[in-house]
Amino acid sequence: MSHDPDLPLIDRILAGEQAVYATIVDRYKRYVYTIAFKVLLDSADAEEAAQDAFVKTFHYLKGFNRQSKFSTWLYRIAFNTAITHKRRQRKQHRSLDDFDVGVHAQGEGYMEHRDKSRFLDLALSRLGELDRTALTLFYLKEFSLEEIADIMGIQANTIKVRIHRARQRVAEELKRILQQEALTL
Amino acid sequence: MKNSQAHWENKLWAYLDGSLPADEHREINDVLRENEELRDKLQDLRAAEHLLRTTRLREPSDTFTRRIMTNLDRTALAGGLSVTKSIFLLAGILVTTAIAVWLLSAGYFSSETTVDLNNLKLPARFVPEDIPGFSIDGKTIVNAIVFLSLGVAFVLLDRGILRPLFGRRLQTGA
Repeated sequence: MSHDPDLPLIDRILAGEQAVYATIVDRYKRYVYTIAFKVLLDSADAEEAAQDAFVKTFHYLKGFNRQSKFSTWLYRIAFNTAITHKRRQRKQHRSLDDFDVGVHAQGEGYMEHRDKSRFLDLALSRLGELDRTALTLFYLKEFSLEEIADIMGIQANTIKVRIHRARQRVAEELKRILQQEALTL
Repeated sequence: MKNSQAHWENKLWAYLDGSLPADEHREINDVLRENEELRDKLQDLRAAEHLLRTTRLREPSDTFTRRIMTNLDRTALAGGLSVTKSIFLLAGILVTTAIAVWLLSAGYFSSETTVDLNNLKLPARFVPEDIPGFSIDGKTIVNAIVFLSLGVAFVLLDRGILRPLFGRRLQTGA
């Protein structure tokens, strides 16, 4: 197992320096939050799930076997926690279809970027949470297919197929969205 | 027809990714020159790929870290039985229950006792003259305690041992 930069911090936390855990949180909070958001598609729910994931990770720290990188283990907990939250959700999630993809007087460059981002979010919202998460992790360019498979608890071969199908689906949904958008202009 | 379409779509994705061998890359270029439909398809895929590459990390709220550190302290104070303590408690309950069952089978609680409340000398205006007595069957009482203990043991096994252990495995994937 190659050098994991988090191990010294973990050893200090296990020795009783609880405050050091804030460093771990700051290091990974954006990744954990992004994973939770891609599953839950709601910022408040994602933040709650991400916080739960960090608290759970702290309490399970003694059981971390160091066979994978700490970050991979943390992301796996985050993903599983977000999935658990999604199953527990009783309220109807407000679909991005309900949002008004309208034009605001903000300047063309900003509007173009904002529109593209909303179109992508809308297309992604039409995928299942597994496909959405796999695609996001793939395009963040920080993870190998094996790491993504490890985080999501899926075989590496299956992840490759899933990402490939998800990309195709996003392309189809984007085309549909842009055609609808062109019709409303 | 559908298979052919899927086949070409897979090829186009590989073309976009730059993962095709040189000869297949040349072949695709030749086909794209002749086939307008495939060129349009490639444009759609390129647009999707371009957008997907804009994927960025999201930022949680400013108070995110502080709230987690506060929650850590809160859950530490709340305490609760650890799995190890639950195992010891369960073992204690099972040993006590086993002793009670052994005593029952050895006949230690076989006799009946009659309780006579008239011996208590309670004020006459509150109670009738003759309060009927009642029998206590030791065996019945100990049986009830044994069943109650087994119920508590079952709940402890579920909540204190199995759920934390399997919940931990599910969350960590270990």
